[in-house]
Amino acid sequence: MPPTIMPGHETQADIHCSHCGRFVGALTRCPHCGARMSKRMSLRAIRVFAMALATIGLGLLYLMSTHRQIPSIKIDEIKPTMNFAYVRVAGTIQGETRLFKQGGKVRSLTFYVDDGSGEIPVTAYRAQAEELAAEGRIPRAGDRVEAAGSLSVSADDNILMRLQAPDQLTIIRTDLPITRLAEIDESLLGESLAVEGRILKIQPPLPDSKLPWTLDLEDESGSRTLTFWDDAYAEIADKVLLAPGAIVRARVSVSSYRGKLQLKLGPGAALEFPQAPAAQFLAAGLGVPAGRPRKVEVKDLRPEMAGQQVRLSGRVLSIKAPAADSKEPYEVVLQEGDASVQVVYWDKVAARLTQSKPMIGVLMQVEGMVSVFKDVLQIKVNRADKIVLLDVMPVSEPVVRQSQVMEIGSIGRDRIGSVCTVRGKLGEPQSIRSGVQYSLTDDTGSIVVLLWDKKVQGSNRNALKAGMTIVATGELVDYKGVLELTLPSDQALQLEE
Amino acid sequence: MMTALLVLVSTVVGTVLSSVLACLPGLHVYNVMGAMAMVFFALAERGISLPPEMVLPFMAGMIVGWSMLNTIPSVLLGAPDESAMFTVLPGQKYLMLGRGYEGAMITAVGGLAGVYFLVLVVGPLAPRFLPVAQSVLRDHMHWILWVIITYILMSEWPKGGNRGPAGWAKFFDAWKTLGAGLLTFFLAGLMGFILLYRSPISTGVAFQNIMPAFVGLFAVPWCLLNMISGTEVPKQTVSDSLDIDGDIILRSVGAGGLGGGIAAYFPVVTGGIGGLLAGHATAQRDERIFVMSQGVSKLVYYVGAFMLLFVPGLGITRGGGAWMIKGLYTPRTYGDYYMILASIAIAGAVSFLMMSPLSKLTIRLIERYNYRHVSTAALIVILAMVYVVTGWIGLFIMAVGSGIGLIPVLFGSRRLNCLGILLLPIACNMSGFGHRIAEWLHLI
Amino acid sequence: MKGFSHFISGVAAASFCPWAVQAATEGNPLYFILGGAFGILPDTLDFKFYRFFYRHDLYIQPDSLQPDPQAIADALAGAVAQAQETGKTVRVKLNTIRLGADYWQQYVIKFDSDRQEVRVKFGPVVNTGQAPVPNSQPEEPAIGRSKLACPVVQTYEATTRVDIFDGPTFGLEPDQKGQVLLHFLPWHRNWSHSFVVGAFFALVGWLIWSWQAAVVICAAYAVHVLEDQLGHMGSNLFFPITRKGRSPGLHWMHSGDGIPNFGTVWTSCLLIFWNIYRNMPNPLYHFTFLKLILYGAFIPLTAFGLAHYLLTRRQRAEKQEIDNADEWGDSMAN
Repeated sequence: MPPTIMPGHETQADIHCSHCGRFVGALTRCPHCGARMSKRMSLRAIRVFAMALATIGLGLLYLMSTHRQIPSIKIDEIKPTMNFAYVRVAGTIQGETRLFKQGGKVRSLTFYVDDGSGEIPVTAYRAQAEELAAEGRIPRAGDRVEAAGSLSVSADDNILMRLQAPDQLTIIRTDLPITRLAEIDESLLGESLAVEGRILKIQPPLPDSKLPWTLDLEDESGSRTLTFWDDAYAEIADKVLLAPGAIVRARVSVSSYRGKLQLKLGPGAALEFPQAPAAQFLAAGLGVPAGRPRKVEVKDLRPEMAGQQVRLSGRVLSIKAPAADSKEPYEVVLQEGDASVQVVYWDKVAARLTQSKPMIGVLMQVEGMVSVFKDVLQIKVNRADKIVLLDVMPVSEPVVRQSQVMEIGSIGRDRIGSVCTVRGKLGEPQSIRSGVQYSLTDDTGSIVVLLWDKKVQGSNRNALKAGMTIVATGELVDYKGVLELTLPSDQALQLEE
Repeated sequence: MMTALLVLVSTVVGTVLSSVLACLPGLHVYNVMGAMAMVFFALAERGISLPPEMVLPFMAGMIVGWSMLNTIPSVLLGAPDESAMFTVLPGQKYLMLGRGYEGAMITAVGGLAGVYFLVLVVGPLAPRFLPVAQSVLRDHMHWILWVIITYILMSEWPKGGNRGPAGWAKFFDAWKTLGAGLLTFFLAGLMGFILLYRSPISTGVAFQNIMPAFVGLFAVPWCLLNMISGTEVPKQTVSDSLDIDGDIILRSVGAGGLGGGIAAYFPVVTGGIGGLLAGHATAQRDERIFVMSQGVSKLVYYVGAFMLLFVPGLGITRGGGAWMIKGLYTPRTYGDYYMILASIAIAGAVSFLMMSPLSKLTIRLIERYNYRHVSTAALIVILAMVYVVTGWIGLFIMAVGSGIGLIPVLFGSRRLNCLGILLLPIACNMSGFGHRIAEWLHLI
Repeated sequence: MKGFSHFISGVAAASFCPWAVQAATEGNPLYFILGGAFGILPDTLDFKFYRFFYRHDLYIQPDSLQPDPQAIADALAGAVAQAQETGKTVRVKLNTIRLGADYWQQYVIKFDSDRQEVRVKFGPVVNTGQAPVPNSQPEEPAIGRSKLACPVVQTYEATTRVDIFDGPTFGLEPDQKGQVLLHFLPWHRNWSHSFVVGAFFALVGWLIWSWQAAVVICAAYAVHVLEDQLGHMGSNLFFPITRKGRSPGLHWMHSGDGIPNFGTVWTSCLLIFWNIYRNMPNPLYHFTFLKLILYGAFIPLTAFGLAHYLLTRRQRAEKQEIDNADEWGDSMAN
């Protein structure tokens, strides 16, 4: 049977129940007989003491800490023993803030604060950096800031401050004095400056290329080229104003690339348009590059054509207006045959489209620049007079124009792209992919009438039979050398017998 | 040649110094290293710059010596009072059976095996494999911490609720200990947030922000309970041999190396957590393996974390020792790495050789002097150290930490929950919402 | 399996979900936490909640000062007889005998089908690691024997050792053949280890978070249930559709076996690592799954196994000479 006293219990007191003699250990009530155990005073006291210290003491510590000000220090006072200290520094931003992005998201940002006694990098990571970027609170060169965070001090005088919360950064925006373009030279390498001038030319990068945008700027002293990448372009407010002739003010950093001075646009909306009224006379979108627009068909558009000026036409398939106070453009989808393309223009153009306001179904001709935005091919129209409605009858209304019926034999290749109305007798239907075609014959000739399934659905189409006489209005197209009339809707048909 | 001699001498001096200091209960090597670092900084300010071939091996020797010899106070100095505590630690079991020397030496063998493991296995492989692991795991450290926290909180076992009829009384009896564990974790976590964001300690010694809290959470409760313990230490026998074999050592290295390695590599994870995870993962039952693996785990954790700073191509800082070194020197080359490996090997040998005589000396000490008085003296030393470094406010923080640290011991939950002081705020920060909690608490 | 094995398996299950890894890279640990938590939840429900509300019909509490094996045997035999007479399941709780913070008096129970009797013997005092305390084994242990009213069919182990922490429960269920089925820990792996219950939790997870969370919860819970089928107890897989009875289990391992547990943990860690790696958009290093297994598992485990084999050659030779376990499973060599 078990030894009376277990090893190690020889000198232990209060571990057995004084009533039944069984082991109770640290319990205050015997689990066998239920008797209350009287422990040593010191033990009870320690238990009470522990709970009181833990709860009340922590509460007092909390109150003490929250009522304590975050200490402000000078940068030259930072010592290695101050590693992990939570302190506040105040000073001026030196240089531009560096943003590090990954997968389109801001992963961290770093800026340098100079308080007169020294300079310290302040870094915000992940959530804090994303929040600052989203709020547009990115310090710029010359701004005055007050930042609180934890210090990281390691060997080789490697000191930085980690910004733990976005609210711990206070920014007082300061405008840098304008520097004349002619005064920018190698002595200013690494500096951040403000420049102001008139845009001479804007060159976007080719699609899928890593090249930057370039902007030629001119002031009374000379001219210089500014460079910036897509992420900086995205942050420019009022992009509609970014066109040759516009007056801009920009914060730039002076650097060197392949031996030449380079002015790089700073982050965080570094480009502004100080003279807004003057900008109203400019069209939306980019400046017009040199060269006459080339007539193309929608189906021939390719991303490689980005930057080229083109003219094309198509039926309006959809119109999407931007939300109020939004900086997004109008988006009009034009369809020509099977192909479609998105045409975009901004408020300044839309305000002038009185006679040429697009409607669903109308045939529209546009001149604009080919571009690619988020993998979508677009035509950017920057002037209201570059949008012309060829056919003002929207497809939602009956389109048959009896008064304009023409002889089929008179329809020539010169009418390609225009709307024609013809009367004739229907031939046998021929099924084609995604639609049906008929031959329509009058006394002067015959023509192919094309009814696409997506566009022409309704009672008129359902009633069509060979031998029937109809009047049809549609756009004249050329398909592999054959002239065809493409009907826009079921209303473009009128059955006579 | 002179450099090699300097490295050797510095290593031996650091090892001997820390081995002696390690026998003092309650004193942590990071406290001593922190004090040494302050001395070095002060010397540097006066223009006296000590060469890295002296400082680095010295610090390496300190960490190795302490990791090895710290077993002595944890096994020999202090007797578990079962009327106050719910659990008896493995080393204490040996003490109460009169086999304290054997328990200490088994742990030391584990430490020596840990040195072999670090120098001969981890050393050559780390530069090749750890950068790969780091590149994969770097962005995932935050959820790994959260998963560890989840396991710590969910894996605690109720100590009560074993008797009586079914019902709520039985349920609450069981959940008392679990509740104490959760309370400990969250109180410690709150304390961690306060010290991380709005520490009242002077900024001039901010690098020791957390030291008073750690002393309060772990060292002070140990001293206090020893002081009021109603138990006497039985007569100890010094054995000539140890009841272990090669397989025991192998399995201990497996379990302890895994636990210590996890603790060394992952941020914030300490040796105790690593040991818990490895113990649950390897499911070892033999008590000798448990005790020896503790020695392996402790050494691999402290020394391994320190060593990671020097692994070429890795660039991570783990453990308080490495953070202090980083303030003094930035390792860059394979030369630094080999120097540290050599220091670790030398220090391991020296400290192991010191284990037996120091253990016997300590046994003679406890036979002559009441261990309660020793603990009282240790407590005074600790208080003095905290006061000298961090002042009155540090003592207050230490006191609060003591209150929290006593809860698990007195109410039967895991002491590991005290690590919420680091786990919770740092996991929140790594996941990106720590500042929101700090704002909600009005700390910033 | 042990809790950590289930936990890390749940995390590994979560790592197979691409949204979990994606969310983790964006700072959201939710899915991995859910994976781990629901991986361990079935056992948590049983051991930390349900067992405190599980009603017992008979509590056997041996006296630590006067341990009497006969009283225990008589109580068990009485419970079997009661089950047979009443036709209802009798639930018996066997309490442990604690002698110290680290000392427990062990006793062993064996139901002998051939002799139709139950035998109880007190063993040594053991520590919490279940290692015997030296000199605590009684030289001539008394054995309590009691005849059973009917045959007892055991669904678990033949011998039950009662030593540390909470003692086991026997569920004595009479059947149509006049026998009594002995269920070990009847409250464990019953309703909690069911796929249907896992689906219910997944549904709750969907309502609280998203379908992605539901998938993770379901997968982690199911992995736990499946892992438990490897042992000797099985579980009630489709509760509440199936009201009674646990699946038999494959009997491939015991829950505390070291190698299967470690194998599960290590495999899960490698799978987690691989799943994180393969979802990296631009990894700096490139390796295949086979290479990971080679360097992460095959080489180190082979080296360890070889060292273990070489170091234990003599012990294996000694053990093979004689099978020295008695009917209680104790070694007869002192």
